[in-house]
Amino acid sequence: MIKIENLQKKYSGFTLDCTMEVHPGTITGLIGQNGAGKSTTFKSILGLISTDGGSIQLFGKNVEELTKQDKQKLGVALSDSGFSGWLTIKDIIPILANMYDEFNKEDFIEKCHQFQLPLDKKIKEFSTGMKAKLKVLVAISHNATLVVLDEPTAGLDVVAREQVLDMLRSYMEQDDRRTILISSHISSDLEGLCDDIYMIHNGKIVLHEETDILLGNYAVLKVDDKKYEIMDRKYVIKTMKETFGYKCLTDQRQFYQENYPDIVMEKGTIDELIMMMIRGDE
Amino acid sequence: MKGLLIKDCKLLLQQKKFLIMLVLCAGFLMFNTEDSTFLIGYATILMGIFVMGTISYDEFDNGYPFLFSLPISRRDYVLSKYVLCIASTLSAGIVATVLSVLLGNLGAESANLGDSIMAGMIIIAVCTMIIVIYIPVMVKYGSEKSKIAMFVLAAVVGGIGVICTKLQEFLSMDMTPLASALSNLGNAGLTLLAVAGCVVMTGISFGICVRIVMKKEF
Repeated sequence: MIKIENLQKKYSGFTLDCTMEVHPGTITGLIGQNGAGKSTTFKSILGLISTDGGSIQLFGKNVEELTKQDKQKLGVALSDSGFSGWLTIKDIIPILANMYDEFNKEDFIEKCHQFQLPLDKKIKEFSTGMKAKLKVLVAISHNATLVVLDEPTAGLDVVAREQVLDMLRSYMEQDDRRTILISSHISSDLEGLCDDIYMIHNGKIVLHEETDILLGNYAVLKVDDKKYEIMDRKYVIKTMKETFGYKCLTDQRQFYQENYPDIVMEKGTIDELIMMMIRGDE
Repeated sequence: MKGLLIKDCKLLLQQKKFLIMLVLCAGFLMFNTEDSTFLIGYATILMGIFVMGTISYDEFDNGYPFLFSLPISRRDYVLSKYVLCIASTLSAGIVATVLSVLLGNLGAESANLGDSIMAGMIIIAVCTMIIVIYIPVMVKYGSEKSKIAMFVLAAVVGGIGVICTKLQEFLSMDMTPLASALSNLGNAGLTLLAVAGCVVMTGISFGICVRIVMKKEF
């Protein structure tokens, strides 16, 4: 559905160098710190910025060759951009109806009621949560095959975040061709949603793994200096010096469980992974 | 493009009060002036600027990235702005001209209906030219910086005018043939020249604006 090969984008002090793939019928997450390159990657995918090298394919076509018809199959929600705040939902309904052939007006209005979004109120007067829900609703209002969501849960409380994620789960259940690419710096959002996770840091993809493998096989080992010296470190990906000794990230939890049963081991959460991948040494 | 035009119309409706004030001022001027030349220019230019306000709305709160992820091309976006601006400026200009002609306060007292209409058309064409020059400047520099850019542009044009005049005096060039050639064109010829100039200027401006938007990064 999306294929990015050696995408290059250079700004002063930052270079994006990204290769990733999003398969049909999956939810792929892109995680990383603020300024890691998530939004630059998304903007490149959407053709909003020029690139300095590499290729991006959407629906099997180069992004520059996408037609308006192709873009009908694309739903987009951006964290820092949306319809003018001066408009109301009532105003945007005819706009969407004239933009998208498959805009489902009845369903859209029903969902707005369901999420208690007032149709007559100006968007600028909405709360952060309401704005976020509206953006996602707009992105999934027209039977898009590919939905691209940049930080859709940023700034939301737990309840609102879960509502947005449920909305996406239910959207995916309706058609097995539907695909989502979602970015977030809140890893717990993605743990329960994504099939596949890419981690980006300083413009580079530093990790790509299926979520099940990430949560099932990865672990953080906590060892003292003595243990660290004697243990087999061939499956250690990253190491971090701590006051008690070392924290080691491994993608072979079972190996250490079987061979070093006395090692303190924490199941890998995505937050832990981010921390280790970014701050740990090779 | 229809979706974009609907969006712009919905945004313009947010400024109903400004539009009503504009119409009231125009009405006041119309009934309190003996020559509506200024009124036609006023209605045309202000309507153009009013509609161009939709560019500010798009720019406000970083609206462009989302806008260009919708199923439209960048060219469609520019086209929608030109269609809306030109349609509204022409409508305002034509309504002002028709009302002025009906009230009999356009042109000299001796002027016939045709001459009055042609005077109106020349004013509309010149004002539309100003508007189409402003659109790409506004798209490139944004609503705030474009005001400075237009001021600089006006100063540059004025400066060129002064230099040309000085040059003409310095070289002792005789401009009488040009002036007489223009006057020989007659009202119809001058109107045609203004309209043609407006069409050419719109085409050039549109081309420049499309290039600006194509190159823009969001």
